Amino acid sequence: MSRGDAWTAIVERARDRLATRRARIVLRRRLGLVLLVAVLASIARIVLWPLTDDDALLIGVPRALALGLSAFVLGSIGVWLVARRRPSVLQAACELDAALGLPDVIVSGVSLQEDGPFEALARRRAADALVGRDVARLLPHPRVIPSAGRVVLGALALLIAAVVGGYERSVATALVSPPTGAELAAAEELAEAARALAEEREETRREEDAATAERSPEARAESLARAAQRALARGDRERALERIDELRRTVGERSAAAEGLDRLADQLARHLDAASPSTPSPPSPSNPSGARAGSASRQRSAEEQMRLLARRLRDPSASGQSAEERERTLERLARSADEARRSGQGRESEQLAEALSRAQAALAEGRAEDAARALEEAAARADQLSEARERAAREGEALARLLERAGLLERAVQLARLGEAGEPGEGMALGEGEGEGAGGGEPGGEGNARSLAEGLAARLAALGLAEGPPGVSHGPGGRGSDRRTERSGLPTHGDVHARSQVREGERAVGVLRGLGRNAEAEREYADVYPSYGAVAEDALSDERIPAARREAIRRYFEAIRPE
Amino acid sequence: MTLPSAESRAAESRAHDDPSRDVASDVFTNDEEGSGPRSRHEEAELRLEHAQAVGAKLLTGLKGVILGQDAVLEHVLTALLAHGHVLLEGAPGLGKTQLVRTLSSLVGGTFSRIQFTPDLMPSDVVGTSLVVNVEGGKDLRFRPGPIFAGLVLADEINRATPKTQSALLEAMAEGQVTVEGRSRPLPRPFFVLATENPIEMEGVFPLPEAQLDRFLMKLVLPMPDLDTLALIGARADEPAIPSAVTTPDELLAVQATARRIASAEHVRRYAARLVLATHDRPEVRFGAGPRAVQALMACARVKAMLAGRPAVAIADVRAVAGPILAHRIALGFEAEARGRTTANVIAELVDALPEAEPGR
Repeated sequence: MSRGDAWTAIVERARDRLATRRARIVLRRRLGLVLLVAVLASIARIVLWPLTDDDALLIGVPRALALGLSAFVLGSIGVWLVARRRPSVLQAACELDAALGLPDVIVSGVSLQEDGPFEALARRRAADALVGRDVARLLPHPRVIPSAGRVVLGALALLIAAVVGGYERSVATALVSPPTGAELAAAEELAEAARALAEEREETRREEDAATAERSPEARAESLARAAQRALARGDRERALERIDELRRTVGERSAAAEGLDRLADQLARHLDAASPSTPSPPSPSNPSGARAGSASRQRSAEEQMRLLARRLRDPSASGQSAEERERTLERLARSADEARRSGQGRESEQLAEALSRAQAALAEGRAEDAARALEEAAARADQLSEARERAAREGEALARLLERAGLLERAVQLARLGEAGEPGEGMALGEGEGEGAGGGEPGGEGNARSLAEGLAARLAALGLAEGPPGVSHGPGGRGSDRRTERSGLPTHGDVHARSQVREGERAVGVLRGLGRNAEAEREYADVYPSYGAVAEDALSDERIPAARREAIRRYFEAIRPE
Repeated sequence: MTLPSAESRAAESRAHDDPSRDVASDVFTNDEEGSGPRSRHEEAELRLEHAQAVGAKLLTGLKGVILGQDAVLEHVLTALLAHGHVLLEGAPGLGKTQLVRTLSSLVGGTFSRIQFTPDLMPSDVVGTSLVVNVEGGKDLRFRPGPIFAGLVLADEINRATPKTQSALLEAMAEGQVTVEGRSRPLPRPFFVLATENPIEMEGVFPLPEAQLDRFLMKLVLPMPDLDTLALIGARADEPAIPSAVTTPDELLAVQATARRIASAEHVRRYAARLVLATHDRPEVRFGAGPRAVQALMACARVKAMLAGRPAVAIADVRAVAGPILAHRIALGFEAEARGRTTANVIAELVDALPEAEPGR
C-alpha cells in the first residue's frame, strides 16, 4: 500500500470509528430516556402482558422485569442504530485534526486534490501526520456505562417499576389470606359441574362442527367455570368472582335464546294450528312416542301441520278450498314467516321464515305444488329448530347445576372475605344480625369463620332469605314441570343454610334481559329484592364503608324494602 | 538559498505591468539551478520556509521598537504581505508613525508621511508638473508627490477633503496615479497606512463606506497596559530604527508565495458563510460585501504562510475576521444606542458560526 493510500485508509477507518463513537456518545446521553422507557414498559405490564387464568399471581413481577429489561435492550439497540452514522470524509478529517491538535492539516490534505505544489505539500503533511497512527488511540471510545452509583440507581428504578408493574390486585389478598378449604371445595364442585356439562355436550360436539361448538354459550360457560376454579385455586378471588359474573351473563344469554326458541315454537304452532285442518296429528318421526309435553309437543304439531298443509295442497280433492279459508291460510303463513323472521334465532329461523314466505307467495299465485314444496322445506327447518331446542333442554340442566355451583363458590368467597375482616366493628354487626334472625345462631362453634357464617345466615334470615334454625340443610329444591330450576336451598358454609327466593338460570336472567330491552319486567320488585338485599348486607359488611355511615345505609335499604 | 539582489525600479514596473508574473518563481528557479530538480512539494516547502523566515524577521523587528501592540503588529504585517492597506485608528502618541517608519526601515524601501489637512490638495499628494530650466529653455517636468514611496503614512486622513482622499484611494486601489492624463505606476511593494484620530471629530470628512472598503483592515491601536507603559518609560532615548531585514523584491516574493497558499473548499465556504452571516444580524444595518471574502482569504493565506502551513485553516479565517470586517459592516441605530460595537457583533458572529457546514 502506497503512502497516499495508507493515510486515506486511516481516514476511512476513522470514519468507522467515529460512527461507533457517535453512537456511544448518543447512547450515553440518552441512557436516561431509555431507562424511562424501560420503567414505563415495566409499569405497563398489566396491559402489555396480562396474566391469564392459569398464571401464578406472582409471575407478574418477573414478567414486568422481563418487559423492562427487554425495553431497555431494544431501546438501547434502537438508539445505537439511529445514532450510528458514518461521518463524511471531511468531518472525519476534522476530527482527526482535533485529535492530533493540528490546524486543518488532515482536512486540507483530504480536500485539496488540485495539482499545485502547495496542494501536494498539504497532502504530504497530512500523510506525515497520519501514517503509522493508531486510529483507536487517536479516537478513543467514550464510556457508555455510567458510574456505579448511577447504575445502582437505574437498577433500583427498574426493580421498583417491576414490583409496581407486577402487582396484581389480588396478590396481597392471596398472600395474606390464601383460599380456604370451603372455597377450594366449592371451586372443585364447580369444576366438576363444568366436566359434567362437557360430558353432556359430547353429543353436541359430534353433531356440530368444532368451531361452532367452541363458540357456543355452553362451551364458553364451561370455560368460564374452569377459569373461576383456577383463579380461586391460585388465590385470585376477584378474578374468580369476575368469571362467575361472566358465567351468569353467558348462561343468561343462552337462556334468553332458548326462551326465544320456545316462544317461536309456540307462536308457529298457534298460527299454523289456525291455518291447518283440525285433524289430530299422528306421531312424528322425531318423536315417535309422543311423550313430550308442553311447547315441545306444540312445536312438533307445527311441523306436522306444515306437512299436513303441504299434503293438502297437493291433494286434488282438496282444491276446492273456499276463498275465506285460503285467505286465512295466507294470513297465517305470513304471520308465521314474520314471527320466524323476528325471532332472531340465527340462520335456521331466517331460512324457516324464507320458506314460509315462499309458500305464502306461491299459494297466493295459485301455485299449489310450489307452496307445498316450500312448506315441506319449512317443516325441515322447523325440525332443525326443534332439535336445537331439545339439545338446549338437555344441556340446560347441566348449566343450571353449573350456575348453582357457581353461586356456592361465590358465597364461599364472600364468607371467606367476611372471615378476613375480623374487626371488632364487624363483630358487633354480626351480633345485631343474630338478634334479628329468625332462628338465631349457635354461639361459639368452630371458630371465627363459623361464627361469621352463622351471623350471615342470621342476617339472611332477617331479610327473609333464610329460614329455620341454623344447621338445618334444605337441600336442592324440586324441579317443576317446566323444567326450570328453582334453588330452594343455599348452603353457605358448613351446616349453615339460607333459603333464597332467587330463581337461577333463565328466570333471573330473563328479568334483567327484559329490563335491558326497555320491556316490561316479568317479575315483581318484591320477588327480586331479596337477592339485592343480600348483596346490600354484604356491602355493609365491607370495611371500606365508614362505621358512622353504615346505619344510614342500612336504613335506606330498609326504606326501599318492599312490603 | 541565495536571494536575488535588489531589482531596479524598471524591474518593478515590469512586474507591475504583468501581475501574473510570479516573482517567487523566479527566486526559486534561480535557486534550484545547479542543485538538481526538486519535487513540487519540496519547492513549496522551501518557499514556505523562506516566507516564514521573512515574516518572523519583520515581526521581531517591529516588536523591538513598538511595545505592547503585538496583535496590531501581526495584523499590519499580515496586511502588508497580503498586498493590502491598513486604516489605523488610535489616539495620538500611540506609535503610529513610528510603526510605519520602522516597517519601512525593515523592508528597506522608501517611506513618506503625508499629514492630511483640509487645505491639502490632490496634487500635494500625487505630485505635479513644474516648469524647470533646462539647457536651451524651459521644460515641464513631473515632480512626484509623497505618494511615490513604498510605504506611505497618511496621517489623519479624515481631515482632508474627499477630493484629496479620493486621490489617495485611487493609488491604493490601482497601484498607480494619473497626473495630466498620464498614468504613473507606484513603487512596489506599495503599502499605505492611514490613521484616524477618534477623539477630534470636528471639521473632519469621514471616509465613506465605499472608500473604507479599499482598506484591507481597520485596526484600533489600544492603550498599552501598565507594564508596557513602564517599559516605555524606562527607555531614555528613542529606540534606534532597525536596519533592513529584507528587500522590496524579497517582500514581493513573499507576497507571491502568500497568494499561492492553497485553500480548501470548506475554508472558502466558511469565509463566504461568515460574510453572509453579517447580513443576517438584525442589529447590522448593512453587511460586508464580496470584497470582504477576498480580503478574508488573502489574509488567511498570509496567516497560514507565516505559520508555515501550505493550506489555509478555518482558524486563520477566524483570526483575521475582526479587523477585516470591522469597517465593512455598519450597525443600526438601536444597536449603537445599546452600546454595541462592530467588534462585539463580529466576535459573536465568529463564535456562533459552526466550522462544519451543515450537511457536508
